Amino acid sequence: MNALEIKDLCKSYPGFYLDHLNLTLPCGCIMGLLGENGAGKSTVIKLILNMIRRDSGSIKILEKDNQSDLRLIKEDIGVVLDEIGIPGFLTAEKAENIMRKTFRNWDSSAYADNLKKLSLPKDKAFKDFSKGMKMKLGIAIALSHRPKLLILDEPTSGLDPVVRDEIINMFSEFTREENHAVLISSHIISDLEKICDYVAFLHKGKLFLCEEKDLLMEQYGILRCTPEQLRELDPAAIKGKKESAYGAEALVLRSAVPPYMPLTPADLEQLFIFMMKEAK
Amino acid sequence: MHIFIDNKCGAPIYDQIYSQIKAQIISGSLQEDEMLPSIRSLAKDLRISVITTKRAYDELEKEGFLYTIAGKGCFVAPKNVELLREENLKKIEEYMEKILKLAGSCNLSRDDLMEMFRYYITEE
Amino acid sequence: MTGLLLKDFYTTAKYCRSFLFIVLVFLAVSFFSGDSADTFFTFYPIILSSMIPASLLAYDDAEKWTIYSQTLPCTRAQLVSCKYITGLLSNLTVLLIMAIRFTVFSPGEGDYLSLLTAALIIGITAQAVILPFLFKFGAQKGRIIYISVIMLFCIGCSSLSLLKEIPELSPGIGTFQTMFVIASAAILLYAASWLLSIAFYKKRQL
Repeated sequence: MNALEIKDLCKSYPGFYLDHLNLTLPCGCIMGLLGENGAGKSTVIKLILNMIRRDSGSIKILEKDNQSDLRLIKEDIGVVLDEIGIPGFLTAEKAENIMRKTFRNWDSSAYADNLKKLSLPKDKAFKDFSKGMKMKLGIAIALSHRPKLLILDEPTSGLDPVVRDEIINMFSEFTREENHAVLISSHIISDLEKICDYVAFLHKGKLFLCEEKDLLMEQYGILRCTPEQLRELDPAAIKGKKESAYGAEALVLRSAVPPYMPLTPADLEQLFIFMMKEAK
Repeated sequence: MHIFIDNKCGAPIYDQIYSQIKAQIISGSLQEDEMLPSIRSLAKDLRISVITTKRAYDELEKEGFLYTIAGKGCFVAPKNVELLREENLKKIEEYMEKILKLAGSCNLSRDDLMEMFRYYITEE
Repeated sequence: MTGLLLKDFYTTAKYCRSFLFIVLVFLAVSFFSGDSADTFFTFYPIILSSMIPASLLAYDDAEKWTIYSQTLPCTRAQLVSCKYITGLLSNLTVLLIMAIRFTVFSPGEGDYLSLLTAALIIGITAQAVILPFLFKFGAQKGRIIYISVIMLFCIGCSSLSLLKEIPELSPGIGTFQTMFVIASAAILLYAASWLLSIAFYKKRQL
């Protein structure tokens, strides 16, 4: 079963066009959505949640069309957007009263657990929370109603590295169940590298690539050599390069590089930056 | 079962898992019919992609090192001596090919190569 | 929808406490000011309570609840309905307080039923008129558009000298039939406004 199926999704704004996006997230997997600012990541998420109307195409969440019974679908998805719009005067406890009456499958003990795991106070007003704590409360709520799919838009922004690591692990643990899935959009590429099974690069409204993360990392490497050596290679194998007075650094397909030229593994961030710079 | 993943060494992760499990099966530290962790729990515990662990397990199953019982899990296949010998022979051939390639890239003649090898044999 | 109503209840209790305070102050003051001012002391509180849904919408926008509610399993229709229900409840609460004040403390003095009915009409009409604007355009823009429309309406009415008659409203407003007709019209208007707001909000891009 596919947790998310997006087919030929189009949306246009003045100056932006989401062009026939096709994306499939199988159950049991985590997909990372990467893109520069303005690439369309938040637009895609808003379209999935039907917050904005699509121009054309189809979106299926957990095998159901997202426009036919979104209310029921939302019982099964946990969403964290970049702003958590909980009224400032509410405490975590009061917020639970509201959520308990909103979600059919609200799990009070999971909520209490999550609050403890994330060190969140029960009776402090939301407006007095730091940015990180606000995010954490949003995450706690999203995880506490037995969702099957998590849709996360920059869920770790504003969090310190230790907390980010804990939360990223929580997302990874979420897919220990094979009927769970996660779609996570983030600028913190190192977080995505830790947990994603698939990565999708969005660039100016188009899907630049969508690939198994490990396969991507296997296919590419970073080559450091002289510009002349670089020119000897097949240009099609060079996916991005940087030249300086001291030499050249390039992202290349491993298969096109002779064995005597040393390649270092590329991390996801380098891959992304090289490719996006080249795509401009 | 101990598995160590090195992200920085450039070897594909599925290959590292595959090789390490295989080595443990061959050496006997993984016993026959011992149950291996599920693809998903291995992935989560090692903090790697589920697709990769599945790939490693599929390779191992294809080569006869493990078998799956639907609904139960993956188990170490009984040791097949012939299979092991074939494995090792294959490896030797692979290494020989690599040696020839490298020799070619630094213009080593066949005779020089044989000389080097003889030196090693006598050193042993 | 219970969750949504609870949230609106919490918000009202937190931010609209001053309204209740004013209503009670007016209640107290009205004891000392005689019948002629009853109209004012009934209508002003109802105007305040009729503003509660609009205030709630403004808070929702400011606190980004409008966006956050899209992540929760509730339909746009439910989000609209809880404001209308809260509006009705706040109006009815004020009317109840007024009704108690009139029946318990000055029974049999004047046509309080007409006064209360008029107050109800004003209360629900005010909400029925403003809420669709807010649901269509958002709390900020909606208020501006609403005020412009009201101003144009007042300018239009004053040029037809209709406004002069309103301050002369007194407890003996009109016959029972007139009140009944106007009240029914107001209720129908409220229902139409409810449906219109749902239609507007369903189309809104957030």
